[in-house]
Amino acid sequence: MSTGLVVSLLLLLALLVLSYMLWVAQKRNQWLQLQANQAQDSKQRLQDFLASMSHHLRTPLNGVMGYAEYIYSSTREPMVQFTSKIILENSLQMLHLVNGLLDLTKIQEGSLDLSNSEFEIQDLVESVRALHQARANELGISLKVNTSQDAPVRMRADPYRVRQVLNNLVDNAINYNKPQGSVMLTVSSSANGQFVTFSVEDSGKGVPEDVQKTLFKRLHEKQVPFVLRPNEGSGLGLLLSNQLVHLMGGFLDFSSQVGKGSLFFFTLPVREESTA
Amino acid sequence: MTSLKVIVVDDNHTNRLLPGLFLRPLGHEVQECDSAEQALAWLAHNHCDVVLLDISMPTVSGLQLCQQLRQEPQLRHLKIVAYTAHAMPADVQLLEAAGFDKILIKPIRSHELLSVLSA
Repeated sequence: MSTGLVVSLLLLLALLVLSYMLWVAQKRNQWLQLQANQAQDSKQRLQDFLASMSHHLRTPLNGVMGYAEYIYSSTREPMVQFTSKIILENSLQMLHLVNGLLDLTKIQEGSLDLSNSEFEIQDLVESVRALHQARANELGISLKVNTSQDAPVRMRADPYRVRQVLNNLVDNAINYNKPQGSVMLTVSSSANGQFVTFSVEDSGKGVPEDVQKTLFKRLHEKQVPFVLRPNEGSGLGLLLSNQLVHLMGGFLDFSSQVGKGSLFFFTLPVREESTA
Repeated sequence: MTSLKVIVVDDNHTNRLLPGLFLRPLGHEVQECDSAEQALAWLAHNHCDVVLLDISMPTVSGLQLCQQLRQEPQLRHLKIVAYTAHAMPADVQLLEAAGFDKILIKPIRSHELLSVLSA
């Protein structure tokens, strides 16, 4: 066989191999594109659903809250004031849930804006305690704040979002507690004062092991109806808290024992210019 | 606050009547309309300071009405407030771009309504 023929055959073979590789690469790209489109489609569907739910819940809520406020402010009859206030408080809870859905959508769209200001940690923690004190008293639960000596005094973050996460954890600690139980909110320092840790410890029922694994899972389409299920906690609060803490450059975690209680904690960077 | 002439445009009966409950006792005049068409007819013959405008309405939407009102030179003084349950960031941006002065997101509280009117 002449050298020329061998070279030609080899070249032909190389060409065949090359075109096969190109064909495979092209198919692979098409497949990846298809996957990406499908993921985009399902994300869009979820967002459309959330937008629609938000709209359809807000419209009747406007009537409930608006008329309850009108009745409350236009009567001096104690029983009417008492009952209209209950309507208002309950509808506020519902609004809270709707706003949670909205926050979740914003996080997924990447459009949630965090503010950045310096604030006194103790003031914030104290305002969270004050907000939940009445509810804790009602259930006979002791609610206490404990600030460790090394805890930073001030921090730089989004105070509204830090409060939102703390409110959620304290709310859970009270709602999933035993009668006459206790809730302890602790502020401490970690990593030589560069981080601050907020922890909420309760003496409640604890989180069952099978639930522990999925507690912070991202909201998948299949799980959406969970959000709307009454009476067992939507799971939205912890999901949101986890994502908010991540957005603020920190992390959230927990440990729990069934029958003994749970400890939820999150750590955030202090980011204070000077440690005064 | 001086007395204002306010028109509330909302196809939902409950939500249409609500702002008036808060505003009339404070001395404001409130006119309710259940459609953009009715609001246009009323505005053609009456003075108005503020429009509270629902967005999702059958036939002509609040967005369309706002854009139409913004093209009327004699209504330049008009404060147009979206009175809407659309709360998604993209929706709010869309409304701001469409020429609304303020956006009131349902459910509203009386103090929010009053601060929007006084601003």
